[in-house]
Amino acid sequence: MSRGFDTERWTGLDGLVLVAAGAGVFTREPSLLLAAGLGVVVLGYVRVASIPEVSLRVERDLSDATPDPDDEVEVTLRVTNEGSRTLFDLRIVDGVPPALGVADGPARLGTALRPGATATATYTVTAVRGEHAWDETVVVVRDPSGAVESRETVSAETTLRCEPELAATADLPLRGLTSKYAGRVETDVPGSGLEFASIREYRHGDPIRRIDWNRRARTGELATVEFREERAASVVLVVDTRPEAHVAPDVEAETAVERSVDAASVAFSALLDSGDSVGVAAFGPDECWLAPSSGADHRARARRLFATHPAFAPTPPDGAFFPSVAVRRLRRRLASDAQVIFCSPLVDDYGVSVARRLEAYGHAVTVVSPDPTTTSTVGARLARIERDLRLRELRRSGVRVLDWGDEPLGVALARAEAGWSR
Amino acid sequence: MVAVSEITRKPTRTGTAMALSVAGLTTFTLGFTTSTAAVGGLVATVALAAGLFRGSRRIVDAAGGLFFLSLLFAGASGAGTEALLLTALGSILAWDLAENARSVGEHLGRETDTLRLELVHAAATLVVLAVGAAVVYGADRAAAGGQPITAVVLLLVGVVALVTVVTR
Repeated sequence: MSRGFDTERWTGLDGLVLVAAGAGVFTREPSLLLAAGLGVVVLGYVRVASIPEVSLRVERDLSDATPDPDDEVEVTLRVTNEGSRTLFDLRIVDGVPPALGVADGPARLGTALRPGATATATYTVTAVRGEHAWDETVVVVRDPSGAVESRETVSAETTLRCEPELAATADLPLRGLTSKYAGRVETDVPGSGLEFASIREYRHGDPIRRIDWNRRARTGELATVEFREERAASVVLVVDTRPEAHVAPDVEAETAVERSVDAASVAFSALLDSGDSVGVAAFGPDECWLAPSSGADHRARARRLFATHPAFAPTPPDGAFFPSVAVRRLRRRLASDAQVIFCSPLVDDYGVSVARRLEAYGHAVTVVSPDPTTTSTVGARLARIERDLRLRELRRSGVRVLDWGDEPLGVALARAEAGWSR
Repeated sequence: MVAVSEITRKPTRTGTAMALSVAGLTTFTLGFTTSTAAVGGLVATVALAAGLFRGSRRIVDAAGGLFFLSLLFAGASGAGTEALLLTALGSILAWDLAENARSVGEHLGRETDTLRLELVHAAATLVVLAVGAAVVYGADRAAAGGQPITAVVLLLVGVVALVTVVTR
């Protein structure tokens, strides 16, 4: 038997009983005394109130534990009273993971449970990317009169894992910085390739196929045709996951971090398909580093990373973060020939300085910037202008910038590509 | 983020309906006593409705107080034992249901199905009140007859002693 705490629900009834009894004596009306008697009975009922030992078993069933993003998952919460006493007043609030929104039906339950009986609540959540674990279920138990209340937590471990497929829906063109391996990025290095680059004097040992025979016929000199060499790049996708980047145009919209991760996963897949080696890094309190590589294993690793790594969680991190240390660590990890694709909403100046510093160290930087600003208020318009100025500053310093508004990534890319030089 | 269904932290519909019907019945019972008490009951019912609409514990408690005053007035102006006991029972039940609806609404919100919870609560309170009223009424019947004033004073002392023991 636990006494719980007093809800102070019936406080004052004793005073009313005494007043009624006093009035009854004063007016010599027995009926008032009887009413006071009824009050005494209620007081006695409240006095004996107690809460039996609460022993509950909570089970949770998901209609699909590994859904695709935006799928509706039906959650069935089963609560069984395993104690020996009836729980008259049971209020249950399920610990839905903070990143999941309850789409339909409350994740709550209010009932009375006999020993051994089970109550069920069903609700629907909309899956979002990530690994989501349910918190403890909070149970509030009251005695039948409501005079005492106790609060307990019961836990049932349930995890929903939502790993989006890595789909290469948009092809992100890379800049000229490449590794020594053959690939698909056209460089300015003359050599063998597809696109014509130049003609130079024949040197001993040049392949016969590359000799310009027309010129030989015209002038009698030997010359060699050169093509733009195609090489593979080594790319690191850096996602800005600082708390500052967790911004969205409105409450229900995707945050900039989610869009950044989406863009990064699209780019990852596209780049991997074109034979480049791709790595992933998070720029934020939670450490995340996947060194550039290629192959099916690498793709699977990245898929899991994008889906479930805490750094890419849709809710803001709360750890301490030292940006300059993080930049230095990132720089040490980047190979000298690595390009950087930096996904950041650029809502503060630090993002700009990160991009500029990486560019200055010789990593060709492309910034993919999902636009979280709106025009609803004067302040919001100011923030938009500030962001536009930041983008302009970056473009001036030679960084390639993709300003990604509401449209799909591919559309934004097609528009931006027109203005990009190789 | 995705669309999230919000929680309406207002008194539940079930509890509101039950509390207001009981309050209405109590007012009806008060109508058998005096017209002033009946008007008091009406005002109390309106106050209870307002308290439930606003979800305010203070207004619900004030409505309970108004019921008590009406009851006191009805009793002082010589209402019948049966009517007064019924009124007292109804007042306590109406206040209890309203307060419970408010607390359940605050914990679980309006969207949750709390019918079972509230019906069990209402039944428990009703049973206790009915048994209590029956016992008190039976005792009154058994001890029928004109009591001398000393007996009444002793009864009062008894009530005080009971209250202090019970609320200790």
